[in-house]
Amino acid sequence: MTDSHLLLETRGVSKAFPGVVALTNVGFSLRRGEVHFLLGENGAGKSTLINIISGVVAPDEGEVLLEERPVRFASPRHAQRAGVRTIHQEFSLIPNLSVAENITIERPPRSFGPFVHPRRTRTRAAEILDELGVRIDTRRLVRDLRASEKQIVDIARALSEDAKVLVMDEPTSTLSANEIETLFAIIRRIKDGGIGVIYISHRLEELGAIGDRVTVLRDGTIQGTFDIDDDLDRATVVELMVGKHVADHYPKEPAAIGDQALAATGISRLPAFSDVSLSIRRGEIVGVTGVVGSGMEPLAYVLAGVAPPDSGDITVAGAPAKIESVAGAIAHGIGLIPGDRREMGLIIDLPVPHNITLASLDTLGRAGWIVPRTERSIFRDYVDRLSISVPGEATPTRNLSGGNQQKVVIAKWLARNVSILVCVEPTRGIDVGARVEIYRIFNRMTAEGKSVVLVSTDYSEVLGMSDRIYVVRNGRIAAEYDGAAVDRETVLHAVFGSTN
Amino acid sequence: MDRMRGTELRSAGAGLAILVVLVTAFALFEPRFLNPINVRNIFRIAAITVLATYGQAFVLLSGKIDLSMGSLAGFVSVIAGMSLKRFGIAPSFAIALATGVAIGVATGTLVFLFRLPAFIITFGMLTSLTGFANLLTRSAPIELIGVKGFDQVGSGYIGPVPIPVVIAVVAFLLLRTLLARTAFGRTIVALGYNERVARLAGRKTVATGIATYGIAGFLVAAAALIMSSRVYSAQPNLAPELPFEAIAAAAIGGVSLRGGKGNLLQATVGALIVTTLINGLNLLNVSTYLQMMTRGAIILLAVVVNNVREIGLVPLLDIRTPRWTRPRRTT
Repeated sequence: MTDSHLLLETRGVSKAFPGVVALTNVGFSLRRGEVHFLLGENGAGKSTLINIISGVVAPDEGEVLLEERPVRFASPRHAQRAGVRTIHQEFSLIPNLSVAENITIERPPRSFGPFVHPRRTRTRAAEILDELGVRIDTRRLVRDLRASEKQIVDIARALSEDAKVLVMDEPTSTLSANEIETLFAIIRRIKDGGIGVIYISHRLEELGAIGDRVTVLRDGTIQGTFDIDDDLDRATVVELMVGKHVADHYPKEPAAIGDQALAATGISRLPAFSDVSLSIRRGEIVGVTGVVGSGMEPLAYVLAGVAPPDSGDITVAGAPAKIESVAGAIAHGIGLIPGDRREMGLIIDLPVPHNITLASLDTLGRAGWIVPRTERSIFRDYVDRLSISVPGEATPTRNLSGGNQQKVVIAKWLARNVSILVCVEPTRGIDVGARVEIYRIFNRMTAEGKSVVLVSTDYSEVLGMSDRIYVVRNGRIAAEYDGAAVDRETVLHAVFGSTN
Repeated sequence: MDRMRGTELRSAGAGLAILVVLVTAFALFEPRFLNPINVRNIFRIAAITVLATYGQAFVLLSGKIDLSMGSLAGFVSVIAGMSLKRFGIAPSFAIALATGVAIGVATGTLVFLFRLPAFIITFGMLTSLTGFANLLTRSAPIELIGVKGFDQVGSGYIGPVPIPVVIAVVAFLLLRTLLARTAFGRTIVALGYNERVARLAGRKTVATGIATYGIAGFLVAAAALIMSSRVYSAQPNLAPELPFEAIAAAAIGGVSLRGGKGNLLQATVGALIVTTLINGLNLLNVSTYLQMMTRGAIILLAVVVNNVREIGLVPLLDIRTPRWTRPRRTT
């Protein structure tokens, strides 16, 4: 290892969290003046690797070397002092301070004692912005800036001290095409200054535009590191990232397809998605897929009434429906399995029966009364039918495993007898056994003539379980496929917009 | 039903233990404490604190707080006094209770519909209602000695039981059922634990939250009528300490200040503790200032102990840990 360009390296880094292995034996390297892409699905271990490099968590095994010297960061602050800087999606700026004050906040130029020197603060900030080739009035307050300008200020702040490594977490996710060009120009200047950039993104098209090398992570291990040049086979990268899954994990049973259950015509909710049309029929599982940030998750929430669409029409069972609240969606027979089970799907401190009946409290007796016997029998019924493993009636839902918790969320909507279930990442973080059980529940629903909208970034799951598939890219429907006929490559091409 | 009673009793266990210790200690140091007249007096005053604590407990369960109870009690007292001078007892009581509900609903609307911080809103209510009540009476009490039968509410008996105690017991039974046996009660608890989950399950969170403040207003109005009856007069500054006693009682009993967790038995035990403490310290001739210190210290202690029981000591000590890695609260 006598690579004089070597800036940062991890050797044999492993990290386990209770119940999950996050990283196994990861060897990653970053050179001076390169933009190194880090690719991987949710849960592949990207965040854990970044957290180790930036001192948020310590590795269980292995070591991190900065400029060929082993380092052990006790906290993010130590890593920052050593020159490892992270730009998060949510900027760490103070809205009510000026651009200059934010950029120089770590070591403000002093006049005497504790007093900040205002003019030198501004000139110092202007110098740094100048190095980046951008012009922002340093006296403006950060809260008045556009998101893209805030990002630039955040970068300038990171560079105000002696930065060596810059980690950027999906920096283009909220930017327009023009703003992305500006950002890329800035990144090119940064890397020309000898700084190494670790760049996390879901957008493969950015690879060719700005990247020098790419490392693919899956299930906590490195699948490979490649130079980004004309020889790089994008399809291989995608396949390495999503992996090959065994087909029999997806016990899809076709059901009789009936009339239209839910249809949307030209609905928009800016800036997330626009002009989306789709339809779901009775007995269908409709997959909606795309990369994180493609707009498919907001689309799911609009269909379930969490937020009203800006424009466009929704019909339920052929009749125009105004779905502007969750209660309104439920009245139309639409239920939602949200993406975050513990924060949006369940009240984890309440016992299981209370969670199961939360959406159907008005049906447990006359005039809003709760008949304990009715509630108990509903609880027993669903524990039985969905084989939810729960120690007792009074057990707080937090004590259940992830798979059982998700079954409770599903039971909540089955108890409400909804006919359309919109599911966002329904099997995220759930073990294989429980996943298959959840797929079987979907099968049973479609056999009863109900419909499932499966919104997921797990492409294998979408391919394995859907009757029809919509691909969302950049807030629009990019393609629609017959789930039984389409092959994996075609869908992945549509998802990532990659063509060879 | 049995199961419910069992968990309720267990949850109030710590409070009951404190109550027993307190009663034993006062009984040992002050023979007058267990005198039947004093015991009856404690219960009569406790009934008032209990009603206010139920109101506070409902608001706390929904995840908010009400600092305005004292001034609302004063305002309702003045309204009741003014109408008692003109109308009979029944219409005046209806007007007083409706006033309590209306102001509670107004507060709840600001907090839940307009999503303003409960602390500030109820603090603002506290100041403006006190001002309004004093303005209406030019700060003087309204004598009500001449109003026939009015004294019965605070001082009368049904059999051997003081009427305020009867009212408190009825309130306990009704409100406990409302909380545990209706969709409305369940929604209050869900709201307090996690408003987003409740809304995503189709619960009417805003209406429920507003109604919760309405109930608190009703209970405070009832307490205000009892208090006014006991002093034969309507007073704008009837009970400035009321919200703090109620918050202390709820916290000591074990109702969480973070929302969702708690029940009315805990609230009852907490209110009994607070009343017993004040009564005992009075009998022991402890100076007012020392009493204030003691009460304040007990509120702080109760909140700290509750918090440690809910989320452990770790977050208090480990301020350096980033927010997203901190342990979530455990039961």
